[in-house]
Amino acid sequence: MLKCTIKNEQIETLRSGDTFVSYEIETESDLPVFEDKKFSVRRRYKDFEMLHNILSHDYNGYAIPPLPRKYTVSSFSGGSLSPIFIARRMQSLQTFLDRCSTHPVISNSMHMYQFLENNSWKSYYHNAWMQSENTKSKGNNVSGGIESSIQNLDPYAQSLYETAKQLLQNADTDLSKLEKTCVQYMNSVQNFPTDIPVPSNLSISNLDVVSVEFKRLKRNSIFLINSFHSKVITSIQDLEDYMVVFKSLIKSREQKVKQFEHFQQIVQSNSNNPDQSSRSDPNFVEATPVVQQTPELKPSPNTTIRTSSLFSIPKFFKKKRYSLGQDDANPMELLQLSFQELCIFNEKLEQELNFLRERIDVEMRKTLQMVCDCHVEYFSGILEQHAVKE
Amino acid sequence: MAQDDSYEEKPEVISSDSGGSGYSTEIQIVGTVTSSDGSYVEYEIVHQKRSVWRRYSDFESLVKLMRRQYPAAIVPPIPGKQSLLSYAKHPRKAKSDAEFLNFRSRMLELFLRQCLLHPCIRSNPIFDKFIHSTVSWHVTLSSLDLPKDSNTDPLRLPPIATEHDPFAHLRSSMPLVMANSLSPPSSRALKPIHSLSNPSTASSLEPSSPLGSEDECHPPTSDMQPTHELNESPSTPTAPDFPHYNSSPSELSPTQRRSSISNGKDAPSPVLKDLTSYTQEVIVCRKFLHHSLSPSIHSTLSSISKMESCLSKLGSAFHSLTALNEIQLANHLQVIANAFEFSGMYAKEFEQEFNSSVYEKMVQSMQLAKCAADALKYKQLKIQQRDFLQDQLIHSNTMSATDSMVAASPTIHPATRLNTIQRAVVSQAKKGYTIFGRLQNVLHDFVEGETSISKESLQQHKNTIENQLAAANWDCQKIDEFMDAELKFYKECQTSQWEEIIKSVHECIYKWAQTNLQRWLRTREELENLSKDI
Repeated sequence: MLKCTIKNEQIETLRSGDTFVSYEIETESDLPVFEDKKFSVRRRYKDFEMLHNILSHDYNGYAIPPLPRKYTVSSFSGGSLSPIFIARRMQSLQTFLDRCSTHPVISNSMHMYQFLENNSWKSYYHNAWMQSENTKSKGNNVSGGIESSIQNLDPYAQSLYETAKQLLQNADTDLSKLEKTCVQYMNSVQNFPTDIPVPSNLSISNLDVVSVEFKRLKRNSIFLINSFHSKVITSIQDLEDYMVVFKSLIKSREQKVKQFEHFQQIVQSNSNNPDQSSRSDPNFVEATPVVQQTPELKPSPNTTIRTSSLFSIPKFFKKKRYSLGQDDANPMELLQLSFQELCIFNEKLEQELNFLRERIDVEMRKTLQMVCDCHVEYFSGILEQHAVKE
Repeated sequence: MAQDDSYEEKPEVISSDSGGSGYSTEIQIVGTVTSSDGSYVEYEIVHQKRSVWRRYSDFESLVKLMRRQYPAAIVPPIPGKQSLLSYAKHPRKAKSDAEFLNFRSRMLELFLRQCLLHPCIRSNPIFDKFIHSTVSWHVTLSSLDLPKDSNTDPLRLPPIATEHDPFAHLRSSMPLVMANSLSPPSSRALKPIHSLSNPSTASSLEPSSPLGSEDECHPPTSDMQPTHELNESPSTPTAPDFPHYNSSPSELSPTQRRSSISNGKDAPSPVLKDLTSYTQEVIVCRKFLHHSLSPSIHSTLSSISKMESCLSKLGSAFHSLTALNEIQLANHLQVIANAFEFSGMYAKEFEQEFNSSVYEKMVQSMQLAKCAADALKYKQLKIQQRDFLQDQLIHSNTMSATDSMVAASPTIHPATRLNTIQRAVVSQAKKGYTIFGRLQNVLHDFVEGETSISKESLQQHKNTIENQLAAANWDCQKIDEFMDAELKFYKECQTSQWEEIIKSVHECIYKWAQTNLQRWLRTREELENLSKDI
């Protein structure tokens, strides 16, 4: 169990004059990796950015939850330190931590543990980054033998991914429409009700009662607007950003599938023409793959010249024959490698899509609850002041 | 077949007048009936357990009649006829529209209630017949001996219709003045003082011993003494003529002049003082209604309408989240979509109720303020009419003096006439009267210059002007007495109307918030139950 809560935001100022907002992250967990069952650390937005960077680097192929959007200063009247902006960012960071802490792979990451517990996060970050670079350079040298049989893609998996792609597209369209409608709703609430300017020299004494009533109602409306923006609309936007991450994963998978199919075609075309019985036809067929593969392959130094007693092969024909021999090995290796890579990616993607369904369910339900809470607070506030008035 | 559309409205009881005259303001319009051919609608009026049926045109003719009988009064307004623009918006027949009939019934009921509060209208026998007599209103109008000239200007009518009008024979020839918008009410305080000094000057021309003794009882102010000194020197050469002139009208003229002067002295101060504050109050109230309250409430209604459409769109948006139905969220989305649609419905009801109970009353309040402004304008015209007559009287006295001089010295006749005309034009211009007044005086001077008018004719003309001035003074005095009650009525109507507006605003907002809160609380419970079930 791993539960993280963001609270106690503070505006801090460094000696250099930089001003930022720091948040306290309180963690409750029963994992043995932590020293205590309940502890807290203080982080700023830049620290979250570091965590996001290192997770993206070390967990390629997984859906790393996105960070909150960086809004322009003109989007908010108070700038980056206004209460509305801070409330929205806290909401988004809470969503980010919830997604990380419930992810089956990221929640077991050492980076996550250090982020939640270590007070020297920056030094750990730099060390982790260096280690990650070393691991990557070693990994490039490993291109050992791969022994596996060629298999066709699973048709069930293919239809599953098509369905997931359609789901993501529809969800993104619906959420965009929903966000736009919510913004329109907030704009209409902002204009309700209109202020009544009361002249000072008016003799009727109780004319300003309606004006006061309207001002109070307007204050409640502004409260609803702020609450709705910082909770509901922000939650919908976070969900949209999460969809974008999954869309990019689907796109990566499509590229890998194309690459695999390309290599498969090369191997099949080579196996269909092994005889070379005819003089003119084999030469014509052999020319095509040779041309395609020439830029990618290097000539082997251990080549031997074969001589025929009847005909002498011209030089350019000789060169093509030798390169053809090289083709027999390289496409097969590439095919094996891409297939293995694709299998691993498919396994990850399936896991990620299941996680996405869970997250959509949880977050959407939470959003709907927040919609109700906002409206209940709005109308309760109006009735409370109305009761006080009477 | 007559279509019976009955609207049982809650009876509203307003406390009776403090005078205890026994008039109850409990009056209702309990229902409407459309005629068989659909050409008109009849409204049932119930007052003191008696009911009568009246048409809208009956109400219209009643308002016109009341405005003719009481030009100085604030007659409550009735709702206007449906305009062509609003008729085009609703293609079906307007008179069968229940909403429109309901609106008109409410407004006509308010009109009757305000009439019962009015100090003069409630005791008017014609109004009593309107709300009590079961005879057809058309027959009632025919039985009344109404004057045939329906286009008479209000300035030639008595300000308050009474059974005995002592100046009825003079009203047809009373002078008409145009509205002088250049002079605000506060500057009128200067003109009566200036015109008052002229009667004193005229009286100083008669230094006989009995008048002299009376003048000593009322010493003149320091402002008048220089004028008196200036007039002494030109009157010295014509001293032998004065005893002969004064001997014949000595018994009547001083009495009339003294009464005119006393009326002039009493009238201006209280009238102008009250008129100024009265004007300011009406103007400020009307300006507030036009420039502050009306645009704000209109804009608020628009924003409620926008909110309603946005809420409906949100309901549709949550309904159409088909992509999320595969993740077992269909029930949750359905619950939220229903909540938003209900919220949109409540916003629509809120807009309708706000429009009927707040906006309509505000529009009626604006119309009442306009009626008050019209009554105020009538008062100003009456005052100008009186000032005009005073100037005419002074001018007649001057002409009388000029005639005496002409008789004495025929050789300087053209020069004297020219000076008289110039002085008349200059005095008219200074007082700011319209060109018609000036032309009338100039033409009058020319006519008198061309032909010699006998003393008898001049005396008759002067008597006519004096009588008209007496009538004008009487009118202004009546208006002065009437104005306090009128102002009280206006304040009472506006205050009660405003209290209803305030109450309606509270009730509308409370009802809207209450229904929405209940809906959203129920929605929250349903969502929690759905989450527990999963």
